[in-house]
Amino acid sequence: MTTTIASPPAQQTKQIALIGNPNTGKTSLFNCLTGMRQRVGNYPGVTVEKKLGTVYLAQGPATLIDLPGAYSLAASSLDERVAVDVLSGHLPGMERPDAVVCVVDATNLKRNLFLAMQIAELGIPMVIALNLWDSLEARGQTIDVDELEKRLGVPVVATVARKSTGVSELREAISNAIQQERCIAPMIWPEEVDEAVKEIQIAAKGHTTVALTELEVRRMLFDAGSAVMRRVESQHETVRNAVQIGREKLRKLGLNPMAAEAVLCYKHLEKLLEGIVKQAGEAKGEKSESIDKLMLHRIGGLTIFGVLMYVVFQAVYSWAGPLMDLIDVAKGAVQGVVGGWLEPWPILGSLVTDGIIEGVGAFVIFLPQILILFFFISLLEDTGYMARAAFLMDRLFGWCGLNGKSFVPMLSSYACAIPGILATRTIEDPKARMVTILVAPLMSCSARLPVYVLLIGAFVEPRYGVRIAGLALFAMHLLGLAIAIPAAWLLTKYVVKTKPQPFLLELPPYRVPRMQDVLYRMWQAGKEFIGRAGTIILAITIIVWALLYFPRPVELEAQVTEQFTAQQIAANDGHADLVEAELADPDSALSVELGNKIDSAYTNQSYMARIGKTIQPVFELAGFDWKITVGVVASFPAREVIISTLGVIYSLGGDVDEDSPDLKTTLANAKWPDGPHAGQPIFTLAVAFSIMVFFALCQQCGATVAVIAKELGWRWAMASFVSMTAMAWIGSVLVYQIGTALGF
Amino acid sequence: MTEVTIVAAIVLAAGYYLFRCWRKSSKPQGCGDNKSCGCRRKR
Amino acid sequence: MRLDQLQIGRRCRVTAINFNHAVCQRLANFGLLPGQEVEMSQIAPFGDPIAITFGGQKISLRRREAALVEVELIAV
Repeated sequence: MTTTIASPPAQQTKQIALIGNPNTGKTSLFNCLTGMRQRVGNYPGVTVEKKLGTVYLAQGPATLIDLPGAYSLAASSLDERVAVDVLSGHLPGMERPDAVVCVVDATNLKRNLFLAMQIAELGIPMVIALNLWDSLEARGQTIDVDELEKRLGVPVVATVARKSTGVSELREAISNAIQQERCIAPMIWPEEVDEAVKEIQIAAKGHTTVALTELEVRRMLFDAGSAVMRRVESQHETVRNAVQIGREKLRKLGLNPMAAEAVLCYKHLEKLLEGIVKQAGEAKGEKSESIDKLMLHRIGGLTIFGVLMYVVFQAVYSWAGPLMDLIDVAKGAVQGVVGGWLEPWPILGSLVTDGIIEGVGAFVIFLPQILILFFFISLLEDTGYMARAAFLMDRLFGWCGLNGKSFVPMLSSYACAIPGILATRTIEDPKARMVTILVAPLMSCSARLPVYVLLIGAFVEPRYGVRIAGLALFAMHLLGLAIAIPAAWLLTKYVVKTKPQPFLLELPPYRVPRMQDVLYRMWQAGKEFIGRAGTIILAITIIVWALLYFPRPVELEAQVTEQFTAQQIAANDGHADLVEAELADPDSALSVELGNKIDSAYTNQSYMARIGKTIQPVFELAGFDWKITVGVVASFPAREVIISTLGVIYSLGGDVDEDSPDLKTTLANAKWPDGPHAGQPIFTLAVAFSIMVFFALCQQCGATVAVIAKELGWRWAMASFVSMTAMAWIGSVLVYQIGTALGF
Repeated sequence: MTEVTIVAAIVLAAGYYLFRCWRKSSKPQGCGDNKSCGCRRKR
Repeated sequence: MRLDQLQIGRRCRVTAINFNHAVCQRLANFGLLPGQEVEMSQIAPFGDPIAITFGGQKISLRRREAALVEVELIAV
């Protein structure tokens, strides 16, 4: 522990913390103050997002730290704990801030200043930003800013972050605050509280690695499950006793220790704010209230919710389509150009085009979906609707451990689990968030669709018609959800041990969002997606390429060519000259077929195929032959790969897609060459559904694993991968065995 | 020959990178002796 | 009577809160303290959670948590 409380040397850049209740426009204000000069990361060891920006003050550039939104410093949630640690200067690698800007909702002074009073205990110079001043004026009210400044003892600046008003005044006030070191006048506590604090401080001396600030001690006294308590060595008994004695004192005063702070502080604020808020004009009726009458209505509310979600889903699912096609085309073009350059070096060329560009391209293709989804998420959040959606849906999701806010991530996972998992950041409750992330990959994402279309098109539609085929497709989409709900319940009950947070959600007034903030959030999400997970994806891609490419014995090509030529000559009644002439033309049908045969031969003896053949007995119970097994194994990095892999293995070339008639007929005609089923078709209806169930339940997406690893750590990512694979195997074995027994 | 060396180096680098990510994330980060960071790992 | 038993549109005053639950400390931080006037604003379509308005803010909470708050009706 190297952090010191002493103020840093003057030449160091000043650190300014930005704190405030959620829904006060804190993020808008942060964006206004820093512009595009922002860096996003995580606090060490926790998944709380750390946002830093540069703000230019009179003294020069300073670092602005955007602390997570908090209603109080009672360190019960991860966010609040981080806020307390940063403000106390107890977070490793971070200095105690030189000043703090407290963003306050001008329309709800009392509750917002509650947080400011808690911070006041730290003695850090403070500036109060009275944001949402326009909402206050819309209510026909005004605040006596000068009087408030006098009573609080710190600068108070009225701002409208949405319109960037008051920002330069705020910047000036921050500069002054650092120089003049004006702190908010702390509350005067009853003697008993002060005594208790002193006693705890004495008791804790020597039992903590750093001396506790008064704020931290007060948190220990007032909060039932304070995280500060954990900093005291193994919850030392003398300290615990001192806390108990202190709480006894409060009880004697007639105060419940858990409520003492709120009771005393609200009483203090009541007096402090007397006559500050004035009714200047005519009071207008609350617009938000009448909107809510409709938005939260039993029928109307659910209908609007349904329509909105449909629009979001459609946008992610289909608007992204053309952009994704564009990326696909661009990928093909780059592959062509780079492939041309690297022609003299076939191995390197294959690594770059078939490995890196193909793999990274398959990942980047999700970018449009991410951008579109985050556009809508920011829009829904900034207008205040997201909280309403959570309110409407909470009952449906609450019983299995998720909460109302799980709905949007789950829905977007139907398009792609990656944006879905990133969208879970809107869930404050860490437990619900974790469970949502773990079940999101079970939702049937769009990459599973080609597999369903291919197999249902080849085996269900010809036999049972379009209507049943459609039904089968729908059932495959429901399967994931049907598994996800009980899985969430089990995870909540037995696996994820984090303490659940009560569902306590503010329904903020409806507001018009600031477009810059919406676009900025969208851009940030895209940037992070490409930058962070992209590095891991690149590495995985290279490894998988190597497994599919090597070993590469040169003689294999000659062997296949010889065999193929001999076959063709025999088929052409011995006209060797004709066959050779056709093979000399690289574009002839025969040459293409030979090329596919060579690719197929190499793939069939690659390390990946050897793995597939080795583990085929495992999949035998699910009715897979070695070719399907290789396809399944090869598609672990990205499930849509199965189509092209099957194409390569059945020597149709890698360019087949799910609608290609060749692949459908080839699959339908494939027969067991030997073994107990020799001569019978490999793909029965039971096998087709067994494969589909496997794909529905399996975590065959390297990108998703990488994103889960980023959000929850590698342990959870691997656990998710292993358990989903196991579930997929069990599911497909059940389907195959039961299906076969029933005669399908 | 040089081509094979380059490709082998790239593949090994990728493997090493993944290994390093794995090692880094399976170790508790930023905990040190300060128990405030919220690291849930039991000691 | 308890806060979760209120009908939509009814106003009440908080008489007691069971502070042994951590959630009540959070509610207290929002300003939900004995003596505070509260109005039941909405009930979610599936019966839970509920939304209450007090001190110029609207907060939603589940019925299980609302049951920890004792209230008395205010005559309209």
